Amino acid sequence: MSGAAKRVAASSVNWSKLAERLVPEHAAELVRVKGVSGTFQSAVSQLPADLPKVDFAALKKSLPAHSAVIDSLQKQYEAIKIPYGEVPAEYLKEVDQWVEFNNARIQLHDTKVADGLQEAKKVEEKWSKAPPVEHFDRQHFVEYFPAHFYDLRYQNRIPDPCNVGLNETTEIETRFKDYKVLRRADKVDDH
Amino acid sequence: MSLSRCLPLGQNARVIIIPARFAHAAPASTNAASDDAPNYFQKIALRFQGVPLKGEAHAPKSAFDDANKEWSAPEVLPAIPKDFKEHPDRDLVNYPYPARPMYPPKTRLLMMPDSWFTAFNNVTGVSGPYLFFGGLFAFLLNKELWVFEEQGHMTVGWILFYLLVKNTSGYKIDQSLYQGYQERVNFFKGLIQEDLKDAVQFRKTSAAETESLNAIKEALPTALKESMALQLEATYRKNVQTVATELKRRIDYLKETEETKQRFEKEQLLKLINSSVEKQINDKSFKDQYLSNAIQQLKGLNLSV
Repeated sequence: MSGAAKRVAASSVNWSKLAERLVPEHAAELVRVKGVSGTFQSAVSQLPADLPKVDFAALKKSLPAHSAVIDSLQKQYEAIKIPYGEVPAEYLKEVDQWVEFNNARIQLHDTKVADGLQEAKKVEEKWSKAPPVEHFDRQHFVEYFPAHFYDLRYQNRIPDPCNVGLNETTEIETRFKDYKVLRRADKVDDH
Repeated sequence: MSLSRCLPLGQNARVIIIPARFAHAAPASTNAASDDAPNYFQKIALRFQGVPLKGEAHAPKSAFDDANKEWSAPEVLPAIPKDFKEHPDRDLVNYPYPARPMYPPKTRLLMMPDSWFTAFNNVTGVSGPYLFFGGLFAFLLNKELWVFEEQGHMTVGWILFYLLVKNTSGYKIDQSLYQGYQERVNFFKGLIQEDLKDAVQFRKTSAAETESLNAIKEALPTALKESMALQLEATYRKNVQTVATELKRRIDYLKETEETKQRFEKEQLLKLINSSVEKQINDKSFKDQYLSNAIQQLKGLNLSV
């Protein structure tokens, strides 16, 4: 009666332990799989695992008039074979495809982590090499805090000590690129 | 230097300041004023002593509280790492990194660098540099190589003013400047921490994500396959239940028919018995025979009363 395929009565996955290991982005995937699995799990736990055994001899004794019917019932009952079925190959293939996708995802993540670690290492190295802030030189402030300091010796900027935002656009630079150009080119100063 | 220092007062001494023009009108009982109720002049004296008046929780704050106090930093600046180099080519022996000094270099006579004097020490002794610079100054002045202009005497006033400010509020100025400096340094330290925080955070989150992906890799394919297997099992069990209920229905039917048959037979038999009994009872001869039988039996009874 029970088919040749391995019967699974309960999921072997420790859901709570697995959920602890996941980050919130991956937890949604787990919830979906767990939901589907839980539905079938509850159905399985409610239904009987195998056909019940019926005492046909006792039945025959108690119902002697129907012994022929009971005999035929017994024969039919013993002859019945409930097919177990098996998981279609294409579904298993889909799982394999998902595994492939997951492997690719892990590979991408590893690459990202390697790059990020390199960047992090760079930052940490930069600060480990820097002198204490108390002993910073003028050049150091420009070098380590470029968002707050500028060095007009080599940076092409307009001095803006009050932080008005003169360097946000190139308007001033383009206007005074050539001092010979008048503000209005069409205005001829001939009088 | 606070004004209170000008007054030669001990903690317990009491001096009555009586302006000269009021001296003739000063009451004789001034000396006898008690501690509980100091008079106007005593109050002023107490103020100078820094003693709180009656009803005051603490002594009044004075602008000269910190006068003559010398300021020193609560913590020294961190040392520069010994092997610190801005560039590998830097010659640390001849050109060491110019570390910021915690305090200004030592001076003598307000503004003369101490190093100028110490250089003379070995040759001329302690007083040598004073004599040398004094002599040089006198020479320059004498030969009018250094000409004091007409406002030159103002320098003395400026020096006195500097001394006054330095001694009265130098401590407070130094303290507030140091506080501002600390704030500035902390701001930059905060920027550095922020920069480093991203790196630390990245390490943490990326490790968690790697762990999560590994967990998914281990568990999810099994979970998916098991889920399908569970689905098969559920269908199988449903079929099993259908077969079991169908068989039960058939057996129940047989049982029911058997029971019904038996009940029907029983009813028929009872009916038959009842009707034949009733028939006999209604028969007259049966009644008479029954009665005569009964009387005879009664007669046969040997009753003893």
